[in-house]
Amino acid sequence: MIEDLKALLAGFFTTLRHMGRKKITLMYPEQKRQPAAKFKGRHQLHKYDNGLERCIGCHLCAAACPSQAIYVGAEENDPKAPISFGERYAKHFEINMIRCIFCGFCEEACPVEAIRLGPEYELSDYQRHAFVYTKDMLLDPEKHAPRRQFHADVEQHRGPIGGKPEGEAAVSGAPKGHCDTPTGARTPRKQDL
Amino acid sequence: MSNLANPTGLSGATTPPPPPPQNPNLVSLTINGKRLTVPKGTLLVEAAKMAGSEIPVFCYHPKLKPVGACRMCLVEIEKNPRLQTACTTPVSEGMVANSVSPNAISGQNAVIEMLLANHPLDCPICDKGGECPLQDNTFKYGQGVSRMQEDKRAKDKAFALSDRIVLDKERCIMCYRCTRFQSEIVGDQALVALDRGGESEIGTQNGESFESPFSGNTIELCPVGALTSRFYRFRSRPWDLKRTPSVCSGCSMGCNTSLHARDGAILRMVARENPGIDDGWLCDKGRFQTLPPVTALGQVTAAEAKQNRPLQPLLRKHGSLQPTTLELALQRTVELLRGYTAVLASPTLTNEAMLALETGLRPMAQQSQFGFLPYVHTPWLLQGKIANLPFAKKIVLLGFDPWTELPVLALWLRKAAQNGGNLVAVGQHNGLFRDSAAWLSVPQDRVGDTTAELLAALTTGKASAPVREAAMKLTCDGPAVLLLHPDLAADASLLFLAQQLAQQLGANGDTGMLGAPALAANARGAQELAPTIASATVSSHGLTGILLLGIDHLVPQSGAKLAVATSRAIEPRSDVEVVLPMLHPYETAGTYTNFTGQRQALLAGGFVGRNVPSDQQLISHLRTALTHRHAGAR
Ligand code: SF4
Ligand code: SF4
Ligand code: SF4
Ligand code: SF4
Ligand code: FES
Repeated sequence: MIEDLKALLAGFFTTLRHMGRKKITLMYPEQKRQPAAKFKGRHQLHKYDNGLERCIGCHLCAAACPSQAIYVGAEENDPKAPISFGERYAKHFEINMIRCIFCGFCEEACPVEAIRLGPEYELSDYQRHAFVYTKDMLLDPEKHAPRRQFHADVEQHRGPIGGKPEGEAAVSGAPKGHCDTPTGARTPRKQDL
Repeated sequence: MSNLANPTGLSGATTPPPPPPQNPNLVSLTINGKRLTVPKGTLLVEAAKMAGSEIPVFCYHPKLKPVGACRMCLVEIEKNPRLQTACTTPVSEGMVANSVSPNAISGQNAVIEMLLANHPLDCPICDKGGECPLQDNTFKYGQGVSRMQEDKRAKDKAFALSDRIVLDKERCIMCYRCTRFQSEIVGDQALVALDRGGESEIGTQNGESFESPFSGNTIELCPVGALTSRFYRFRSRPWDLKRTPSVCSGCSMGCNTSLHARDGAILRMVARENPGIDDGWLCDKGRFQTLPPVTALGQVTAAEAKQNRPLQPLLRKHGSLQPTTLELALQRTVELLRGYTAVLASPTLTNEAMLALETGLRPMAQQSQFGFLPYVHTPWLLQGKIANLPFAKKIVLLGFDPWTELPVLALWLRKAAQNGGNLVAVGQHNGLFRDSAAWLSVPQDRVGDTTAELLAALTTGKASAPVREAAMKLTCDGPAVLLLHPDLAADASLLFLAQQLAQQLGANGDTGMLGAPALAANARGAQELAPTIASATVSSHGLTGILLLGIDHLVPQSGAKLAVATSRAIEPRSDVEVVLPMLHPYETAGTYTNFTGQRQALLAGGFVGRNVPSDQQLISHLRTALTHRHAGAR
């Protein structure tokens, strides 16, 4: 009987102790948590400062993806109006967000840091096709992503990467200053085709 | 002890066993600690393959002469102070070679490092990435890190050598495989190495376009992504491709190919070596011009969409071609075939379709004329095997230029010429000019006269000087080859002369080759399986309707209404009444007969949708529709 009372009081005391502490739960969805910098949410495709797409259409993300969620179809850049830096760009780029397991392998495989997993995690919708993200949606989710899947408050958290193509040591392990970018960033002599 | 066991009485003292009888044609050596015996003259790199160890190579290719340009194959050979290149060193008795010793490995590391010093790390955007010997060798035999701090050499990135081939001069490792192929195998020196040292690069003699009927092979030979195909450029990556063995539909040579498709769209065709047919080469006509138009989702650019092939039946309604159902399209086709009409089929249909055409469709449409376009019948069926060709000593070509008609055959004849065969060409064209012993250049309509003269020179010796001289070359012993252009074979007197000449030369099918080869792909199959249709001539005068089966282009406008079954885009002409979609031979499973009579299987290498029938299926659909018409009429 005494033992039971003791256990009861211990329980009340624990509750009492926690009442004074800081709350760690949130009133979701009214309140939202800002994900950590490394959080792996919806993908973003990035651009350089000069507006050229980072993606060079190399298919490496698609090759690395364990759930075969990515489709890439490449084309040759028109040297007069290039879309990405160098000779090749992704004409088609699709990610099926239903298949994606948000593992981040695509981001690791990318030689030019074009694809990054962003902060957006509220991905819910009523139709399946709303989850097939095309290149436009990944490049500019604010404009093109399905309305239900875009939340400015989360998205603003991690902005674009930007940067300049020249001199970026994109192949990991290359010595600093070494111009080994797969985008041909040494401004090669290029013949008009 | 009795001496019974040793009747000679000699003491059984331990004499060493005599060395095994020395075969002067065999050499025994040790590679990476493994002893083996190989034929004399074998190159060390080949011997290593037999010993089960791989020596990395770039410039070495079994079909090209060794040059020792890239130094990738360095091995350590005992009693030899320096590393040697395995691809240029023939084996010798008692040789002890090692490709895995510390010395050899440091040599391999150094070569890789040197090759990469100026190689752009383009792998992510390079068409070769994923199937690249430079990547593979770097992985297996390289150090894994680079010590280079300097900038790399900048050269032209996308240099258009021709309208088919693009050269990336930065990626080239100067292995000379491409230039050696052009000079040794093709013999036209279309590609050469220009300049020296770090400036040296691959190009053409005067900067002209790289024109050769076999230029596409250099793309496959190039061990890096320096030579790339304009048509395949950036279309896919090797690991995304589905590979299907097939047979080329460019001509009746029947070269073996592998079709590479992504999402059902065939993006490129590469050689699949058959030592008895193509020796591992393809010509540009086959490699680049026979592929079906790309149709798969996601691959269609605006330009392609315009020239796109029909994938559903179209019917002319209110003056324009509009989508319809297969039943209605077939019905209209059958109506069109009433009266004075013709069915023209392409010889590129499969054997199965040929048979269906001859035994299934033709009896159901008795009132229509049947024929092939182009005409395929040859009155002198070819005898002989391609494997005989390299050993031929007397070769006569009558009005027939294999260089343009059956290009890969020209490579075989060139091989014969290099083995000491005498090639005499009679006719207007001679692509094998450089390898000919004589070329009696006469217009095609005079080939008969010259053949008669040549025959006279061989029998009576009475002929003009050049013909006598040519005949002289044909008096040697050895297997003979005589090929007559099938169009000329229609002339009975010339055919008779050619057969006489073949007899005079001693040509036979067992050791050589003789006859008038069928030219179009599966033309021989057409003649064998649809003999009535093959030998029929269709008079186009006054036809009211024509059905074109598998023909790539429309027949000239003649007032007849057309029904077209095709796998290609067609001209939107006003006389086209019905368009029936059909599978391309590369999307069909079936068989082809090549010009020597060899049957080979094609497998479906591409996919364009379930609703598109194959040639054979379409013919049987047509037959059913015709049966219904007959039934309805009764
Ligand atoms: S995060 Fe993982 S599963 Fe999702 S697309 Fe990238 S690689 Fe594929
Ligand atoms: S790995 Fe990067 S550059 Fe390559 S296709 Fe994917 S996103 Fe584009
Ligand atoms: S040739 Fe090979 S190593 Fe060179 S860029 Fe292409 S894939 Fe990479
Ligand atoms: S283009 Fe290719 S095949 Fe020709 S030399 Fe250069 S690396 Fe060799
Ligand atoms: S493979 Fe021997 S030197 Fe190139």
